[in-house]
Amino acid sequence: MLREPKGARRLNDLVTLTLASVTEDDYGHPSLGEPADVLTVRAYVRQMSATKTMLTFQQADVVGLELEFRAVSVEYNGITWRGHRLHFSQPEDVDDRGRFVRLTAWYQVDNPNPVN
Amino acid sequence: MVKLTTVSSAEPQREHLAAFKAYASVPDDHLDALLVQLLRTAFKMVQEAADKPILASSLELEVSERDDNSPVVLFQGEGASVVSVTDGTGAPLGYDRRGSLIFPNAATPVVRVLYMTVPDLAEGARLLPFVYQYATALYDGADSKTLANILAQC
Repeated sequence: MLREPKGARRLNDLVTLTLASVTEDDYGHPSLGEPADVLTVRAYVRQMSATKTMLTFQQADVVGLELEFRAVSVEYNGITWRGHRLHFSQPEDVDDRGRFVRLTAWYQVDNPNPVN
Repeated sequence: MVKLTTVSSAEPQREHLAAFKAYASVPDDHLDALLVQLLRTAFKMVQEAADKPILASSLELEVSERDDNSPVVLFQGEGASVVSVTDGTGAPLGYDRRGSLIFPNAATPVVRVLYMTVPDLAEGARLLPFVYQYATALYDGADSKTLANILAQC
């Protein structure tokens, strides 16, 4: 069972926000460029239970994550955590004040192109 | 009755803001104006709770409804420099001073003391973590109980 000792730092993990520019070719087909690191933020990262991951993705080879961090003003469309490029949902405003966001994310265990 | 007014106060420094942002894990600069404001409040509250000056400030203390000529205690007054001691009409009063106590020479119903606090570096180093903790709690919208708990540790 995961425990958080009283007074422990909650935002105890580092994730890197990345931004890949979108380019459109002559036929209007968009494509993503290489992601560039934008900002490193301290985040609360927890692995989803296997059941929740399964329910969410119906896949056996993904790891579901739940992330929380302070909202940032920079634009980003990718997140890297411990060398994994995460796929994530729309950020959710946790505190209704636009200061904390929560994301549901996942990465593939057999990711053929790990970042590091 | 005792009334303490902050006439002016030194601003939190850039290092204070940087340390607060590191403490609160704020990664970018878009809310700096708000953070400085929270930091200002936190400094004020912690200084009041601990009764120790961390930032140099100019304070005015007004003691009214005095029955006898008991000494006036200057809040955060350790080592402070007294600018003026006056009675209710604004006329200067003679006084003796011992530490943070002011002994007016004449008994008047109102005594007003204007003084400048001198930051205590050792105490400042001890109290700064509480300032950051308090400012972070304000930023996170923590309830009054949490805020009071932080001040109780000062």
